[in-house]
Amino acid sequence: MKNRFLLLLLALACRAFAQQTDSLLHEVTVIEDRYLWLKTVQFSVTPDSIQKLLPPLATAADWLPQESSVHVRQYAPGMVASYSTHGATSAQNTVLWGGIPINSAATGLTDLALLPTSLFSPVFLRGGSSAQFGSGAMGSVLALQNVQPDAGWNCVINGQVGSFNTLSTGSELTYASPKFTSQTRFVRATSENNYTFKNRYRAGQPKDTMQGAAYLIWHVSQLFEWKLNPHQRLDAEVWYSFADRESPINILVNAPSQAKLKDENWRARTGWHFAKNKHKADVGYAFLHEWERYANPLVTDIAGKPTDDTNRTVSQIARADYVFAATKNWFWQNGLQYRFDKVSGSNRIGTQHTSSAQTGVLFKRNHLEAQANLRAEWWNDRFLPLSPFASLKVPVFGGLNFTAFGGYNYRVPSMNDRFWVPGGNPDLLPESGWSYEVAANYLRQFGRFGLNLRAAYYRSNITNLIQWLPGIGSIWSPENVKQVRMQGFDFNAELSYQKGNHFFRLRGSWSFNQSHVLHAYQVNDQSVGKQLIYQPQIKGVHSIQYVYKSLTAQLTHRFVGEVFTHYGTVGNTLPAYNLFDVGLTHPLKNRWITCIIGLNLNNITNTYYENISFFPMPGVNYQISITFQL
Amino acid sequence: MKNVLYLGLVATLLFACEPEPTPPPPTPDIKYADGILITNEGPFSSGSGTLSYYNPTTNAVENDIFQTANGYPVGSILQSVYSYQATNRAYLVVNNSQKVIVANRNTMAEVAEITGFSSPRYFTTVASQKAYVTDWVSNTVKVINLNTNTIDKSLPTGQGPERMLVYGSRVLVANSGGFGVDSTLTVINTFSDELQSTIPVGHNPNSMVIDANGQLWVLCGGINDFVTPANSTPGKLIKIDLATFTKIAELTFPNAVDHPTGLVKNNAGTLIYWLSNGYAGNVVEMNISAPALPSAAKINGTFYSLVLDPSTDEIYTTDALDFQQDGVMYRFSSGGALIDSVLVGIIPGGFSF
Repeated sequence: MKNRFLLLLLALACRAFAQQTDSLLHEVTVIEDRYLWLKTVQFSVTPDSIQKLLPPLATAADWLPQESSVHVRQYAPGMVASYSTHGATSAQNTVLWGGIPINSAATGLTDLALLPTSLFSPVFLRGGSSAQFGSGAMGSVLALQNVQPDAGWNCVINGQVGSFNTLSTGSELTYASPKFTSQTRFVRATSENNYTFKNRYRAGQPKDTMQGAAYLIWHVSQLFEWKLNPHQRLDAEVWYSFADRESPINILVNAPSQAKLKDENWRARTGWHFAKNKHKADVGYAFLHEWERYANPLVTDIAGKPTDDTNRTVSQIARADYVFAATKNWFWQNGLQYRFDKVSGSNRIGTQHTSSAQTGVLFKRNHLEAQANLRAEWWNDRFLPLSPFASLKVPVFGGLNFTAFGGYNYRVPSMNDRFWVPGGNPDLLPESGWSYEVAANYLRQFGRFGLNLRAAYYRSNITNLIQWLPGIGSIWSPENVKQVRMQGFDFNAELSYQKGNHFFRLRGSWSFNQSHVLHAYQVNDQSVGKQLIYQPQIKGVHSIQYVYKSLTAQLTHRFVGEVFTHYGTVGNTLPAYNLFDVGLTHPLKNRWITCIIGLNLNNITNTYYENISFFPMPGVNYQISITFQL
Repeated sequence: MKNVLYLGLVATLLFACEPEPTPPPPTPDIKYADGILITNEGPFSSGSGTLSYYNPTTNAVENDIFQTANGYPVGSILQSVYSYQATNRAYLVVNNSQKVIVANRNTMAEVAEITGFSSPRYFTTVASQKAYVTDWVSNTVKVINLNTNTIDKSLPTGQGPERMLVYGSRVLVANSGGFGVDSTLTVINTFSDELQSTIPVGHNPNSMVIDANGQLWVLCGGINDFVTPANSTPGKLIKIDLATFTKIAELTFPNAVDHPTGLVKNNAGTLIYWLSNGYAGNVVEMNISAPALPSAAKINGTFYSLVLDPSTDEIYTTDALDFQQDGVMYRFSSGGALIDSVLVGIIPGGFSF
């Protein structure tokens, strides 16, 4: 019924609005920059830069697969989504919210399915830098930022319907004046996710339906910002999210899953920001509260009760940053951070605290940039090795420049690794290692043509990789067991052409990744010399975009190479696959309101594919969206 | 161009005139007839189990034979396999897929599927056309009609029924406790398919044998309380008079950390063996007349399962390593000398001779 209502709205909108020619692309203004202004050498992408026609209510799990260096794993759309970058696993990539690291202290992960792109303006930075971002920033940084709203009152309302009874709604109400800004956002998404697929694992390949993958997710966020005077401002932001999801099981299992996972996250942060003459200072505090409940009536505990585990994680973070512009070319940056984490509940009890101090210098002159950073961190009572980071950007001629960066990165064990009952190992060491990247970049405009090329080589080593193993008394326990090396190439190319009302853009990005286990601390470990599991060696994304006046169309092709799924020798790979998506959007406008209509057809060739073994993803499917801007 | 055509013509004639040597006809019927089947559970949440075949005469191993024979995987968590020579069938118990696959023992081609379980663990025949399957979550034994490959009846047991032992017209079922605790064996009359009695033993019995003297040995793993380790209890080895179902002896293991499992015996029934730990244990041997538990292991290792060849008394064990890569099957002489070791599948655990 809701779907019909939205479709009716869509039809009415089509009739009501005359075609207009305005471009609706907004330039993103970053107001929560923190350290990002130093990050000039790492490749960065935004949803807009790589996938123009993403549905308005998409999540990071929909967007990041469009970046060739990222591989997202998901049991089904909307389910918990983890990712890897250059072979670095989810816990080795960090997510920042307004500069605050929000990876769960309990698991070390952030679920991409719970990061709606309509709530923020995300920026993905490829490459690690623990010197600047601390524990977990080994493979990449995903920064969730806010867009400076237009002056006055603005309202955006989104509706989206799609296959498998998927329904999403969103709204945004903003007010901006010279003194005060308010941004209120809301997103709600539901789906039955009951798509059909040909079950190739059963005799006769019968048609099956995905079961146990329904979800309800919603978010609400509120940001206030006060400009106290020309030099000072205060801000405060709250973000609440709730997810009630089923938990699908391996399709080799005959019965549908009865497991359910609920997540509830409260996040709040506040900050004071000062900038005057040569001084810039930021002081902030954040409170993160996670609650999760996993229930499975089919699995009972030792007392015979069905599994119903509830766990809670509370984190408090205080930080201060100071930047001094010594000259117009030299900048000195310093930061302090204290973090306290507490986990409690059915499966874990524990606390930890970390303190860090960071300093760095940046030199900028014309297009030459160089920086050096150093971070010291105390993790509980352990002083971690100093983490240096250095980068260089050298212009050569024309639009050509070379960049290089490298540093020492680390990840402290998650609190689940240390405190899980049973088996948590409090003696685990952090995963750590050196990494570097060198790249050549070329950006040039030739008349109506624009060309942007980048080629990069990266390499990193990680020692003390953590893995759960069976131990004494049949209890599994995590150990520091492996050393791995990731290396590879990334190529990015973009060619655009504009003439009159016509605009073409061809884009391609390719990543070649070799993530090998170099050494295992166990005897007879067959993983040595093999590619890490669920890390494709080859991935490529290509898109053709055409814009005529305000009509935008795009065809995207994604190739994901074969991945290993375990270190056994039989049935240990998922085959490579190709996906083709088509997007179309068209704005309609009159004096009072703008309406954008979008259509997305995904996996138009109806390709069978899996991101995780024995969990099929949807075949051809659609999304129709409508956005009202008041 | 003409030359090429001539050459092609000559080549065609040559091949046409000289018939290809006839390859020996395939002999699928005897492919897996003699040898040992090994079940590999496979990755737990996102993988399939596999079935391996080992020929002790040639020491050759062939992995994933079910997929090879049928073109699709066996299913999630292949727990155990049972060979029924009378009908030349193999019964593959696929725990997480909640089914038992009936396959041709020689070719491994699937013949039928038996469904209706919640968590099947072990299979045994009790009559020419009747079998029992323990169902771990539902706390039942399912009575299977082997003519129709359907469940005829469901018999309640204690918690977590696992291994069974056929004894005359009775079947003893080890109620291993499931996720909780149980301390009984269930006795079922195989003629009437009715519960006959319950035998109290120690915490969480997991395996049984009948020795040369006709006495029953029951290995109890003890309580393994992950959450409150202080509540864990040590395992016990209990000897029971089968005539009266009364305890003759009870030997308690020295600590509550190791939870012994996998009790088996030699062909003569004079020696019994077990693993000192359920996930990574040593092989322990004991003479049935010994008054106390042995203090040393017969074979040191990190073994996951144990079985003896019923005809040679050779000892077969598996090591699941880190449970994420191919495990190893070891073959030892009855004296404990290593004869062979081969890579099989992920989490190897079950055998059938």
